[in-house]
Amino acid sequence: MASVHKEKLYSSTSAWREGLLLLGLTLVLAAGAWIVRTPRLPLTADLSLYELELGAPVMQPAEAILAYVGNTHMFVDTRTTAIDRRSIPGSLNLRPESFDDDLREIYDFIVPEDPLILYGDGNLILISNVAVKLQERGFFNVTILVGDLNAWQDAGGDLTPLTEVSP
Amino acid sequence: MIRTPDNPGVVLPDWLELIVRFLVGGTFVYASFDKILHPADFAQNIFHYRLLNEFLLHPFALLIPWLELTTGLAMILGFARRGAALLIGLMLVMFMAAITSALIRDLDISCGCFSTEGGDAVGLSLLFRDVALLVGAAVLWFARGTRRTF
Repeated sequence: MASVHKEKLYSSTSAWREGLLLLGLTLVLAAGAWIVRTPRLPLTADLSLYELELGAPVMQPAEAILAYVGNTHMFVDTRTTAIDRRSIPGSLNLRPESFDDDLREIYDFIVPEDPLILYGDGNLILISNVAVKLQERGFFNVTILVGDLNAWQDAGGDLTPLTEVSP
Repeated sequence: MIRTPDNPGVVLPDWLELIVRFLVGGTFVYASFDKILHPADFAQNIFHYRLLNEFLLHPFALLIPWLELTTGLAMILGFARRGAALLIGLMLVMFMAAITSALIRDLDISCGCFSTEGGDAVGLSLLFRDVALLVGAAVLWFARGTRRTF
């Protein structure tokens, strides 16, 4: 009877030990994948982003700068009124109120397969509306830049004086 | 299932143990793939349950899929089988608590169980599925079969 009890105890302890081993393995794998993989999911979540139910995935300024430096994405300015006269160098204009005209203007420069990063004055809902319109026209590789140009600049991004593509 | 005087655990026939291991382990491995590939979308799924704060949401979204993968693989391969059964059991209890809480609060959300996009809506059928998996994990926890590895 005592040996059975001992065996049970040992068996139970070894299961917990195995569980801890698997937990450790999981931690190593998850941390490794998080380090290696970019863009990284920030460890602290911005819950407001999840509340908004945006029409496209979001990108943090630091990740967007990597895309800008690597020249992997095209940047699209969605601001209606350019109170801030600066813009991200090389970006195209696509304003909600003149969306179709603006899209026609820039159609020579982009194709639906191009990865696009949309930015604005920090109001993600407005940018999301442009993202949804783009998706309706076949542009599915669309991302929304979180924050305004100050956040972009704070993260180390370049800015130039605003040059309007369309009148 | 046979109980022997010298062995207090349940002895499963090898073939039955193998089937249960593949069913439970395979389910967890399959469930992990999409979440590992799309952690941000999985975080969105978890957020919909409204149970975790900003400090827990992303670490949870990053860890759970890998835990599903390691425990599922361990279960299939027979490596640390009882430890895997224990962790899978704990995860299932946690999932069932989350689903129950969503049902009580009448949340109309998708479960995020196998796919981060779309997927099954939270409902009683998910609870039954998790109970079935929990029974499988419990059987493997108590099983004292001779087949230790695949």
